[in-house]
Amino acid sequence: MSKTKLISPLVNYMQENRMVCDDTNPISEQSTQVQFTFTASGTNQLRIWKPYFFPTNPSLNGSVIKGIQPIAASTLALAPDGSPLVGADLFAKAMIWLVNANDDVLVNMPLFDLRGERSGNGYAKIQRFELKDIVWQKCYLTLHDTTGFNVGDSILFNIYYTPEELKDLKNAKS
Amino acid sequence: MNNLIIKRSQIVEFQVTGTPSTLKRYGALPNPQLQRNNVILYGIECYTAAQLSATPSGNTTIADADKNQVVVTLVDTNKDQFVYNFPISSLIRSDVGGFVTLFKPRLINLNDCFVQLTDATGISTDEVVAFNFYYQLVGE
Repeated sequence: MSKTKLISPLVNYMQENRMVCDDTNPISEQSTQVQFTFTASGTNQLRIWKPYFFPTNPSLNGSVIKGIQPIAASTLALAPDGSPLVGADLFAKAMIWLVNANDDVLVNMPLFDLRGERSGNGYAKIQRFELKDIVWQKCYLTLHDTTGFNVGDSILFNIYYTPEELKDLKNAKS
Repeated sequence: MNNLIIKRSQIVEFQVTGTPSTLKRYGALPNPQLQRNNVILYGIECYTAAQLSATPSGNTTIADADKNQVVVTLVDTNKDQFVYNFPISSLIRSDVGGFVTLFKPRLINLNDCFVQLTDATGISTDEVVAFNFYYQLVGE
């Protein structure tokens, strides 16, 4: 006799409305990497409260963002282009702002929250999102304290996303 | 194990105005995105300086050492204090296994929410207790 999984109506409601999901579920269909590097001058110059906008990313625009993970130096010492990554201790000084096509800030949160590594008595996990209308070039980072950041340092992100075309294709098949 | 999916989030600050006192209710700073009656709150977490050293308003977050001196009360649109005097230590993600505290989704009334200090030692004037509210809008 097969076992029926017991689930509370409240948890069922929150799962159906995409408010919660199991941590062991697949995150997304694809992932990509986004890198941000601080420079001595220009638009990426180190300064507090300056919005550092991400470059346009055609893969991410129109996709559903499912997860964001800043990668600390303890996970990857150098970015693929050879620039050093900042340590996780600096993530409490940086925030990410995710903006949709209506210019609404859907999410603003410290990078500290998004670390994928195990911290304290927690276990490693990727923070899940369900962000459908994000325009990547409108999204940005801010620093509220530049102490510890150096020119040439990078912040690297894994972005987990599900492309819009794939979703449309699946809908068409079903 | 279930954990939260973020649809929308917003940093909310409760500022300790005037001389820090244990009997006073400190309300939330103005937050137009959340001060409408169509905000369905389903998760919350708290930040001390260890997670967020300063807020987007430029305010200093309370020190991590002071986290066991603050409680929060959350109120819904029916004026129901559905979370009453909840210790913020239990809302700090890195202290609770990496989980965000989830609620039965309900319409939040931010204007009536407040924090209180159970001990003002070490907390300075104008410091803030910062939270991240995870929510969706009615009809989304």
